Amino acid sequence: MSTEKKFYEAVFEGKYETICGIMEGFLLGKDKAWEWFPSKNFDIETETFTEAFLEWASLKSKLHHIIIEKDFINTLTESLKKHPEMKYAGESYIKSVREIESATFEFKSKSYAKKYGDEIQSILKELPASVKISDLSEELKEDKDAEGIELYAPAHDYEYRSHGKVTGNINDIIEFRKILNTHPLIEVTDIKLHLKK
Amino acid sequence: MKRYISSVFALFILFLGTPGILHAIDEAPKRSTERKIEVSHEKNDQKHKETSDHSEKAGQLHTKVHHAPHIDAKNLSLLWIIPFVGILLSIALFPLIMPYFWHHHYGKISIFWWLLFFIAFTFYFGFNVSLFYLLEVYLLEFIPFIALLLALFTVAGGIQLKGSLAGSPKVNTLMLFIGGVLASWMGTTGAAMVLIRPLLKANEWRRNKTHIVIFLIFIVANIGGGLTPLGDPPLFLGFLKGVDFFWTTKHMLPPMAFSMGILLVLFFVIDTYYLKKEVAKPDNGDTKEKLKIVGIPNIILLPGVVLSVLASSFNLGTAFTLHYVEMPTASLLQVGMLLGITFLSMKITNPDIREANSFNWEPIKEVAKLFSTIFITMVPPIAMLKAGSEGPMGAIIKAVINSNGEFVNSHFFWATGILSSFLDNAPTYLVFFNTAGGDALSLMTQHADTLLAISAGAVFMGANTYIGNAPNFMCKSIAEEAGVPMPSFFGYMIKFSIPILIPVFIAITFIFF
Repeated sequence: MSTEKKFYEAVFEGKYETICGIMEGFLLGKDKAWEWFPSKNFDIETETFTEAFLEWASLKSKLHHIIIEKDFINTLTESLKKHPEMKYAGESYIKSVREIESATFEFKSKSYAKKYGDEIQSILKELPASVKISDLSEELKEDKDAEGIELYAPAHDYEYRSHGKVTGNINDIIEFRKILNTHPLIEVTDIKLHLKK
Repeated sequence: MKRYISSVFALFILFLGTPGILHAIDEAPKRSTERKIEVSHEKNDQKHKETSDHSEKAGQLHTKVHHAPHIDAKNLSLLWIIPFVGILLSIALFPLIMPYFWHHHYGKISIFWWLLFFIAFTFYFGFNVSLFYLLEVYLLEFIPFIALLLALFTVAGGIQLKGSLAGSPKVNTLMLFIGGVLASWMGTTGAAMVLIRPLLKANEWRRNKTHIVIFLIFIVANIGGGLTPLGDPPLFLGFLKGVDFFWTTKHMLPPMAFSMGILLVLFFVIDTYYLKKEVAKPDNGDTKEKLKIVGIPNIILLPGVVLSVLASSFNLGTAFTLHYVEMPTASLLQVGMLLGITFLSMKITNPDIREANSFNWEPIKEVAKLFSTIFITMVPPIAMLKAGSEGPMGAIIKAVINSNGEFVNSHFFWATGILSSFLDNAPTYLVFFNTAGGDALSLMTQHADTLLAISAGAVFMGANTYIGNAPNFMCKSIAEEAGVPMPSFFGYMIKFSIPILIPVFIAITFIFF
């Protein structure tokens, strides 16, 4: 996993399948393994209020946000410029391209068994290189008196809660969020992008 | 544990021995006849109360020679229900607001309400009256109640479903159906305790399994318990008040089958939907264990529990009379048999089974500590309801009758149900049982639909919230410890009980009431 790569948020206009087809076709033609992530498939917050309203008004989604590796978008843009004769793939598809500085999301977890508490703590310790957790709050309660089953006075003998804000490079953030999201006891928010001004 | 077993054994001997010794003291009529006589006595007392000037405390206490002292609740202040409301609200709110404080101090809080009630009651009505109610409540109601729960809990805790189950919609639905059927015969708590772990284990590989626990709460921990007095505490309280054992089975079967049928179909659809969303698939190739039930001796003991409850209807007369309270020999026999079953279950059960079920006595201790207060503090509100529409709680009665003075069964169903959703359903059942007159014979015959509405409301709507019925919290707690993310109190209602259960209950209202 590279943490050196730069990523851009490119907004494409058109049919989602067509845009994805262009991306995949371009990669095949170039025989490259550049990374790209359609935002909607990776829970990345993108839409502005205006975009959301326009989409709602037209009842279909025309603008698609793609997180795309720097080399990929640069090469693609150059190729499209060079070939204005193309009927189905043109530069006009690309509405904007902005560099991503970093990305963040928040998480919270609670578990009532040591096994799961340990699992979560272990996940939080194995952070990708560019990823940092800020405002991390961890709370561990153990109460041997609360062991066993109860009907009217339920309490857990073990309780681990944590929450925090995760920041890092977008590709690492996407990867790490996926790991957290796979755990049933961790809740994550959508990824927020911090774009270079 | 040894100390406990010895105590149970001693109590067992005591209860088995006492009836024989005391039977000679008093020959009394058949229990069902006694009930009729009690009713007629109450009516006579009621008439007498209206004319008598023998009362103490401004007409609120009436004592008749050879008859039990009663409180005349017609002019009682509503302040007398504070301890009852207090203990119910404590049970409802403390686990949500301060769970750890409640866990460690619920017994003290219960004692606080008990003392508040008993001291005030004794001071106001005198020791003679409070002793009568104390004995009546504990001997005739609380002891049989706790003995039944103890036996059911002990027996169910000795049964375990072992082996590998495929966490498929078909198997899960079948398990919930079996649990729903078992709930009426081993209690909702027992059935939920037996079923929840195998169900969680079968679905361990699945990421989306919260709905499985939710439907277990709906079907096994609540609605399934509607067929017999063994199923859910409110129905057993009804049985103690004179409702026939099989009246409940016969009348509750249609609404129960209807709601369980809808819920099982719905569960199958939802479970299939979530299964399709699963990315990982189960890996049980080499570790597949044959499915089996262990703890067979305890399954054999279950009919014994049914028999012991039925035994309380036998014609055995009165064992003894203690301060106006007549203790039926059959009740003693019932308690003795239940304690015997408990003792036997403890002796014959493989400790591994109990360990696998995480069996401990805490749930029974909780029920004992909390219900000992609920039962005694319930005396004034029940008396107020018996005082009728002109009594201090006449507003409740007027809310469930129409302008002709007839019961509106749909109102009974929803009023009992909504209160049972937030307060414990056992006392709520009794409140509405008494709102409807409190006469089991009349409620089983001319007002059968009213009693059905009360029973269905109390049993079914206990599933509306985590605090509606005791096993709900137990299921939530066990599931959370098994790594299942369970919704919050309001999350449970908004995401599950309101959209799923309320439409079913609306349909029940139109079809049955």
